[in-house]
Amino acid sequence: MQDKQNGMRILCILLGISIGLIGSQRSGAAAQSNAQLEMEKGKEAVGKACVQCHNMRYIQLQRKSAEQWRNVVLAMISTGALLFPEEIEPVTAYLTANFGPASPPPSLGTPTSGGARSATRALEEQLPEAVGKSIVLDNCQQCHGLETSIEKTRSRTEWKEIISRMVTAGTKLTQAEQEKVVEYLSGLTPSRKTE
Amino acid sequence: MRSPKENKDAAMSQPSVSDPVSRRDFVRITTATGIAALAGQSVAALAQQAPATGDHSASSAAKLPKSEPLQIYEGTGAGAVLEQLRASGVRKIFHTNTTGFSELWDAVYSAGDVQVIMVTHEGQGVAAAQGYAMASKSLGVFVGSGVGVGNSMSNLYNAWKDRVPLIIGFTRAGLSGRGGMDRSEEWDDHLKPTEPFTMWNWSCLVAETMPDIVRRAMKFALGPPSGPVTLDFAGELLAERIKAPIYKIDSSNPRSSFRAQPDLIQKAAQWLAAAENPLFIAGPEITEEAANDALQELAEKLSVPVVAMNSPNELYANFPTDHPLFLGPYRSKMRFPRNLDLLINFGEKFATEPPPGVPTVHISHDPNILGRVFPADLAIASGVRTAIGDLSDALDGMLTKDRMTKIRSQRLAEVSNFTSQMKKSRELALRGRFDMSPLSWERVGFELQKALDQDAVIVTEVGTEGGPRILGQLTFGRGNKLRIGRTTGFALGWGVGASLGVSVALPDRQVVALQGDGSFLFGQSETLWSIARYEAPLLLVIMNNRGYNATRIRAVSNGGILVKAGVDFTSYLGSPDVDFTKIAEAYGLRGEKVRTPDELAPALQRALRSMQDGKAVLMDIDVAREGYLSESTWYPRYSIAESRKKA
Repeated sequence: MQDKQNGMRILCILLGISIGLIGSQRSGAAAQSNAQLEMEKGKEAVGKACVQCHNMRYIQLQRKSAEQWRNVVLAMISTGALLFPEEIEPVTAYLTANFGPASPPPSLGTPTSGGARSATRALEEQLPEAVGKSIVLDNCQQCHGLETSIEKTRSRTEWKEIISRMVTAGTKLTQAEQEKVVEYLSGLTPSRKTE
Repeated sequence: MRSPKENKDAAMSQPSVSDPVSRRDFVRITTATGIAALAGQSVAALAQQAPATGDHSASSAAKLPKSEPLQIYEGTGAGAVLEQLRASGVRKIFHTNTTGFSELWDAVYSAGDVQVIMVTHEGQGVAAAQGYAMASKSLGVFVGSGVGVGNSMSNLYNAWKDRVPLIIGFTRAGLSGRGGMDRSEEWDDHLKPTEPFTMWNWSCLVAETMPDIVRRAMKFALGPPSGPVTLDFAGELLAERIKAPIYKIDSSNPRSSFRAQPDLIQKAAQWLAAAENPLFIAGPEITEEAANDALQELAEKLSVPVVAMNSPNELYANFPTDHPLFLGPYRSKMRFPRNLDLLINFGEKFATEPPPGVPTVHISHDPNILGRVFPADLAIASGVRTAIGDLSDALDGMLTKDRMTKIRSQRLAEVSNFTSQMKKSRELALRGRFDMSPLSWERVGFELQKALDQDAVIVTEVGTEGGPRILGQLTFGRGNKLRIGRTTGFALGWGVGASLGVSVALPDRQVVALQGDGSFLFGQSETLWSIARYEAPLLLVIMNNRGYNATRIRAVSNGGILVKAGVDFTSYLGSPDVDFTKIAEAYGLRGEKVRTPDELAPALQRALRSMQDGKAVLMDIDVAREGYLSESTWYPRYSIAESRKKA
């Protein structure tokens, strides 16, 4: 009888521990999910409010702490950025996570140092000559390297959506230029990329 | 062919001027001629009160005016010019020194009621005339030397861009210098460089025509559209004895006005009634025509949100900035209203592309700007004030009171929700940066709002980044502060001169000039001489961040070699580190230096007391320089002293 009671007691304890572990995993997962949602919210707000006045380069060049980014966000609100009060912290979190002190150094477009510059030039020369190439080279390296533009093969529909996002993010392209860029990039195949 | 008797009978059967007209016919006829329906009905109601007996007695017949000049002037050409200006209500002339106008000063001295305000640089003199014209809503007049045309050009350009009515007169060596005979300046036509930036320009060649030239110049300057006119007066003509008519111009109502075609107004009203998410743009013509209250009433009628197109760089605050319907700056992708479905632009040039797919109505008293930059779906040439009235009347005829109330209340709730949230964001921003040192721009704006009179006048020339941070803390609109500037020409070196002119026009109001250190260094300290001479009780605030922001922001956006190297080539101004208070003191004005946030409020109180005593104050405030590369103090160093080879 005593053994049975002890057994039950141990079982209850084990069950309690299991429930506790499952609960903490779930709350951890929920917290992570909340954090991700906040990050997405911050990213979306940056796209809607920040790039109305300046391009993404102005953000991407900077590396700041959370406190510093918060001050920038507040300054931007005073300057006219249309951010809701509840967006201030998510935007700060997004900027800190992506452009904080621990983030990789900023990509400054076409590099000036010898080795990296010649690699980029080699890549530029490898790309096929066609309508739209010059627009890609002139505009798509302002905020990221050329390899980001061409690393994946995408459909025309996918490129159209990406270019639209880039324009929203601050890239200045006319409607005609956007169409040429979409045409050019969607025409790149793996074999053509290495011609 | 009818007999004379038949002709007479036919004529007698037609309604004559004295026959009573039915109300329905009268309204039909007046509407067809373009008078708004309600106006026609009002006139018909008045007419029906008049006796219908065809009484042509003097008491009922309209009295025709006598069309004749005010006087026939006899005297010098300069005297005639002054008489024509005086007949049009001009009592202030801004002037930069020249040898050529002594006959004009003789006439001014004799007249005794025209004040000449001397400014020691033509550019600042033109800016002062512009500030005066904007504040007084009348004509600004500047006269100077022909050789000073160059100095005047940047602010002539600003006045033209701003469409401000100015008469700018130059004098030159004389008629004998024309046709390549000018041995001194070798400058055949002084007005030629001014051509692109004027509504009209003319060199006077016959003395008797000069007052009529001045009258014509006023017509072109006042418009609409308004703008500068440049005139050239030869010395011999100013001295010549002439006899010439002087015409009266009603200075209280000098501008011609025109009305929209009724069918265009009807269409605009139909679109507005049908739109679910409309938006108004309030442009400078609203303030020029004193249509601010009218626009507010129209916006409130259906709770239509309102934006400023060029914010923060608009010329005036055309809509009350604390109104729940005021969204602030226009953006090509508005966060509110979502799904914008109609844009109505009242009197603004389009600087930003209208959102694609959204129908646009553009209303302006300047036909040249309609469809100039971007095509409008409906372009209406009209005084904006009358267009607003006509639009309002048309809506009254289309929507029932209940329907209007429903639209108004539902939309007001949505708009107010958005604007109150934006206001809360701005308050959080102010609080979060309140105690920064060097000061935040927001803190300076907050303290100014607290210290100044509610109806103070702010003449601003601060830049794109800092400007909204300080101006956003000030409340503009009816009963609140008046905003003048910044000039939409953006040629720096305007605001201090303009604030002098504003102070001349509005002596009973506190006038505050907002300057950056960069804009003040654009040749504006000369105006401190005039501010001291004429005891203009101004507050000149210099937002001193020891640098230009706009040049650095543009360089970063372009991302060139210097950005990659982490240097800012041209923006840093802190070497030498100018003490602007000493410049003010050199002119006998008071200087106040503010370095920390807690120094600001007491300094403002001291400044206001000084202004009350009639003495201007220059306040040099250390404010934050922020943004990427703002910490850079690098510049390409070059020392002329060190480059000397001679010991």
